[in-house]
Amino acid sequence: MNRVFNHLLLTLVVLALCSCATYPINPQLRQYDPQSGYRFQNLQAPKNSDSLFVILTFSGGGTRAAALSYGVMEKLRKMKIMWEGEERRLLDEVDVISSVSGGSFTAAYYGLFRDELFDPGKFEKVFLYRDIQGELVAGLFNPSNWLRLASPTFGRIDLATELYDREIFEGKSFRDLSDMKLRPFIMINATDIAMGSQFTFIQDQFDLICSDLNGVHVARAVAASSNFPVAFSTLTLNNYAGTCGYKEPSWMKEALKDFIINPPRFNRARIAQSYLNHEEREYVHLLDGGIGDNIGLRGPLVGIRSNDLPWSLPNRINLSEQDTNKIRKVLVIVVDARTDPKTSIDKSPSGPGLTAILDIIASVPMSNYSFDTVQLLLDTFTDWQKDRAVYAGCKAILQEACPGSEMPDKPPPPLETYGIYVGFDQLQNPKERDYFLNLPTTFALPRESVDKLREIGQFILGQSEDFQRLCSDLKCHE
Amino acid sequence: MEFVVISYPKDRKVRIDDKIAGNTNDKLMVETGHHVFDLGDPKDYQPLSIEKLVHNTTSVTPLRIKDFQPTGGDK
Repeated sequence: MNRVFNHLLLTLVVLALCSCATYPINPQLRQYDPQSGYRFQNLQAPKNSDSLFVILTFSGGGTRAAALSYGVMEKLRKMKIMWEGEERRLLDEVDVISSVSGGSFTAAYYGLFRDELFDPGKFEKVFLYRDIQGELVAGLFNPSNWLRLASPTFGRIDLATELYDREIFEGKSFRDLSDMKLRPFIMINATDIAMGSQFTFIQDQFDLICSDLNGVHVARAVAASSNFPVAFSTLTLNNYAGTCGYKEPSWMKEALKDFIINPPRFNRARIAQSYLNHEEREYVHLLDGGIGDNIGLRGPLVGIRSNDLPWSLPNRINLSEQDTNKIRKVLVIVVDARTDPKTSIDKSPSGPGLTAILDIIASVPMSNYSFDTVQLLLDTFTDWQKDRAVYAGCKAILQEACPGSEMPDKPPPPLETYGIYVGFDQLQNPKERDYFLNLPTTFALPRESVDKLREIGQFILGQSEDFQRLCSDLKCHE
Repeated sequence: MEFVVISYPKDRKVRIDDKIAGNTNDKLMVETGHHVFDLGDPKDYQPLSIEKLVHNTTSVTPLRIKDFQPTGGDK
């Protein structure tokens, strides 16, 4: 009888311990307030001019992506420009950094710790040159975590979050980012698996689920962003929609009429509206941001092309037309650590195994989509140039036909655009290109590889035609 | 990108879908689609808002919205 009792007691204790372990609950937002929280419009830009608007996007790819984006940041830090009558660092002009997966480590660290990013005893030590992968695996094999991992509401991703929080991000939350009130605006992207859409850790996104992002640790956003499927469990957020006084914004209602003439806008509204349906969506489950967009450019593209976002670039351009501080130049740097590993599939008459097939299914659509996303950015910039060219052409014809006559409206804004892609495909040396295109996706790379990634990120950026044009326009020097 | 010019006798802020997005009589960059335009506060104009489909415009053939007129002492 005693033995039965002891077994029962032990079982109850184990169950109690399991049920204790749960993911950190994202706090409820008491009252929707667009004046507070981590939003672009709540950030100031003391050393940053609006007239040069700079957006960086960092791709996924584990430590490879983090090191490549770190190299680009090092280059931007070194580059001094002459702008608005004074010399400043190009890095200080960065307004937005949008990141995915491995790139989110660099972006989030810079957002929180600023120039400490470049201190050899900081980011390099706690992340870039560290075997994070080994520590994640060690955590899984630690018996003290087994009971917690047996809980249905505590997964491998929550264990990873604890490691990142403790070892990399020093327990900082989005309140720390909000309190700094400084650009760049850091957009850490994950993927909402129910909608297959991007989920960004900014208050504008959290408004939809009536949650206060300030109470969320930055490590949790980075973990969601780098939550590689299968390796980790999904990361869960509670949805409190309908409890904070947030009302459906009018763009959503309008965009739902645009299915035929602007399907992406219709889709954005459909996705945003889904969060407001608390009955259907009590929770939001997130995986790696790379599933939705592996280069982190989709969010910024909406900002560049649409009036719907609170930081809409067209709105800022429209408004600045009557300001002295007009937006005159827009620079977007896409840092993509995409690889293209050599394959022996076509050397054998038999097809590849299940693992290889799954890998292809997971990576090929993502790569193709990334190419198209970059093209959308370049097409947008080309369209802006065409708008100006059409206006100038019409004006010339009018003045030739009717000298002295004027165009009825002002010309489109005289924007100079620079679209830069930093990726390994641009390397001319085949041996060098092959080396980088065959680096693995992991959170542990040899020191030599990290060093080379940092150097190549700086090199590719420096070689870019648009970067050289920018440097010529802004009198860059190191 | 589409272009919209909202004619009005005075310089006023223009709101697109409830967000301040430009100024009257300027050529505004607007995303393709349905939008609600208004001039914000003070509400001394008519109509108070107007919905338009913005589509197939160019920098030389913007959508011209001439519907807004001042009321009362703003004439």
